[in-house]
Amino acid sequence: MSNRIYFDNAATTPLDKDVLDAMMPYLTNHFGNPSSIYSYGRESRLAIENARKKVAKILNAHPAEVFFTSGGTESSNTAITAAIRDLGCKHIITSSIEHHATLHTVEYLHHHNHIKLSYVKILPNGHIDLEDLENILSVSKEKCLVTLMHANNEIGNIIDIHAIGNICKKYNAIFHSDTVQTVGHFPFDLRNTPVHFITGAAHKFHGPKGVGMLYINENVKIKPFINGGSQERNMRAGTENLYGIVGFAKALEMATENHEKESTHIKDIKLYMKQALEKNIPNVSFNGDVLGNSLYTILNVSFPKTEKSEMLLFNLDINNICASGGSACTSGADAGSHVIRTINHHPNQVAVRFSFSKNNTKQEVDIVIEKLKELI
Amino acid sequence: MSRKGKVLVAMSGGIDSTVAALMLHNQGYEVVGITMKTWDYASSGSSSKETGCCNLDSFNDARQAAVQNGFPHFILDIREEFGDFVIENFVDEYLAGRTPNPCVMCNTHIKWRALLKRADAMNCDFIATGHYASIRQHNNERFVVSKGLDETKDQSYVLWGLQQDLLSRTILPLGKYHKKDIRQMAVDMGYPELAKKSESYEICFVPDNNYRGFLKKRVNGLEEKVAGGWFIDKTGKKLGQHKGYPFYTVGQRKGLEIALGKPIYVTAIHPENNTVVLGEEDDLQQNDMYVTKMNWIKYDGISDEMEAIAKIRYKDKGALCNLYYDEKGIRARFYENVKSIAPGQSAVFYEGDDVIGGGIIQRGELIV
Repeated sequence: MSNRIYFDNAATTPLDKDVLDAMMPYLTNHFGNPSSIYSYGRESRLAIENARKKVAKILNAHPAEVFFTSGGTESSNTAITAAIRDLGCKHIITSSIEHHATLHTVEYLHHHNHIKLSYVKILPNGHIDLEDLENILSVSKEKCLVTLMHANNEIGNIIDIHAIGNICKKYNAIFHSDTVQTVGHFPFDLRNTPVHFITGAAHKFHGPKGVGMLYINENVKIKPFINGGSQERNMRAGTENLYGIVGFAKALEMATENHEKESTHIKDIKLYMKQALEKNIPNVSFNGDVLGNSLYTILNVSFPKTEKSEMLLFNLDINNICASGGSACTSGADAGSHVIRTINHHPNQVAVRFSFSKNNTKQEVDIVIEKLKELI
Repeated sequence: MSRKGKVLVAMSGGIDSTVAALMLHNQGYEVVGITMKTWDYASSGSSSKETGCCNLDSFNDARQAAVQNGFPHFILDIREEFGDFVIENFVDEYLAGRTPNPCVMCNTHIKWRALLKRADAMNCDFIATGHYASIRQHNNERFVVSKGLDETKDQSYVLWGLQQDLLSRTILPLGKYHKKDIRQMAVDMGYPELAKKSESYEICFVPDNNYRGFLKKRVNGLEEKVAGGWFIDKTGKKLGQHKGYPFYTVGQRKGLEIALGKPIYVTAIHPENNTVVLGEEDDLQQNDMYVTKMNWIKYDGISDEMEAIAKIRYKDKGALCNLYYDEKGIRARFYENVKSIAPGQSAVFYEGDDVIGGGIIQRGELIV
């Protein structure tokens, strides 16, 4: 099965060999509990704190603002819940195209904690209507939490994090941004970005699964989300995912070092595939702001719906091509995509997300196009 | 591309369909496994007990066999296709005082069509299931369903509704085997735990087997509306009050909660006045029935009349009858009286082991 073509890198990416090499000592010899006082413990502790420093430096944040978690979902849950519980927010403003890690969390708080919930308008190109956001903030009588994702995981649209951050600042709102698709793919300068919380997941940039991070701006003070020991500066109890944290930092370091080269390569593939689709598949269209403010890794395509194209994802799989319909978290049993439903009202189309990494090639695009010609 | 062709196999995660898929895979077919999600317990108002086919463990068992043997497997959500037709028909039939076979309805109208539609979309030549029955092309060119070799497991009864276009594309790999052979194969293929898994006989959307509870939850206010109707005898004499006519079936003896000093049975149900007729075993004896919605399988009909073996319920051994037309349609006259002909149940007619055709029982009669 080595002839598979993997075009679902927004779901997850393969672990980089160098990242694994960096992790291996901590899966073998360096097994100490980072909280132990003897040599084994110190070695582990050092690895974690060096990883934190490394991540902080790359994101231009302070190490004390970086917390390691189990992944993006935990990070978003922590930030959103803490904004309500500890920071006095009583009104959440979000959008209907957020990841379920955000949507289901805010819905829960709305139903169980009686928190007011507003959805900001989405423009036809999938972008946030900033005027509407400002309107909602200006009339709200409560302290607000604004939670809007940086790059949409299905269509790739990128928000203007500075513009939204500044609007939030004006209305004294807390701003959380799910940056799972951009950390490792986009240069951050958090010291100069008006945001309170951002999130990351190592497996989106060739790191290991099961490890993520939460950036908490030093000006906000929240209480621990998981109670117990004093790990992660009392914020997240539980023995640390030592080798995962080491892997996170190494993967982010590599992604940052190679960012320019890799992003150019990937963007090239995305545009190449867009053109090849337009040339070869009749009535194909694209979701989101494809050529505008959009992440270079994601291309969301709508094909005309036929009895055959309804089974397109299955047929691609049978032909050893991996792509997805919605986000990976929903594609177990094909339930369709809440994002595509929001921005595009064409029931006669089938949406497929292709997402690329440094490992992909134009030759792979050619093979996929040939298969698509047969399968549509 | 495999020489034998590509086949879409409906895999429930149970032993039969898993072995069927692996058998075809080993025979050189290009297998694509599919598990259909027909029913969502969370939204059904039914019991939360997930013993049927639509639970996560079953999905995982099917997926495991596919991954280990190197063929693809998908989960297909057909709740919308399934929901309205099968469940509304199930409810409507009970409310009409009849006893439905929802699995027959599903096979006939939903499951096979849903499978074939996906098979076409995935360029599959065939579809396959783990039913204990066989399909062959008869010398009159028609595709014929016949009984599985294992009489105790035979499932040809639930396949009578399949039309020729469906049968011509269907493979039933288990028809030539006994259940014990299939168990042994599961062990030999490396799935001993499947052989130990308990079998499910219940209706998938009534996993606790409590169809009365399902009806009550499904139909708002049903219980209040039908409670307090009368049990009557065949002369119309009131014998006591019952819980509502939809909660009884013809031939039922247990759970009547009425003592008359002798074994008594439900012999008829009258929804129009919410009465349930009780009688003795003899009162259940009939020798003729009127059947509608016939689907002919082995022949494209009968010219005048024909001797056949009729099964009037799933586990029925079958009884000889004469199949004939009258002005209302197809009737079957039994050579000897049969017990408990239940309207709504399927009647399936056999010539030897071959299914001639089947239909839905409208009513039974005693013609003297």
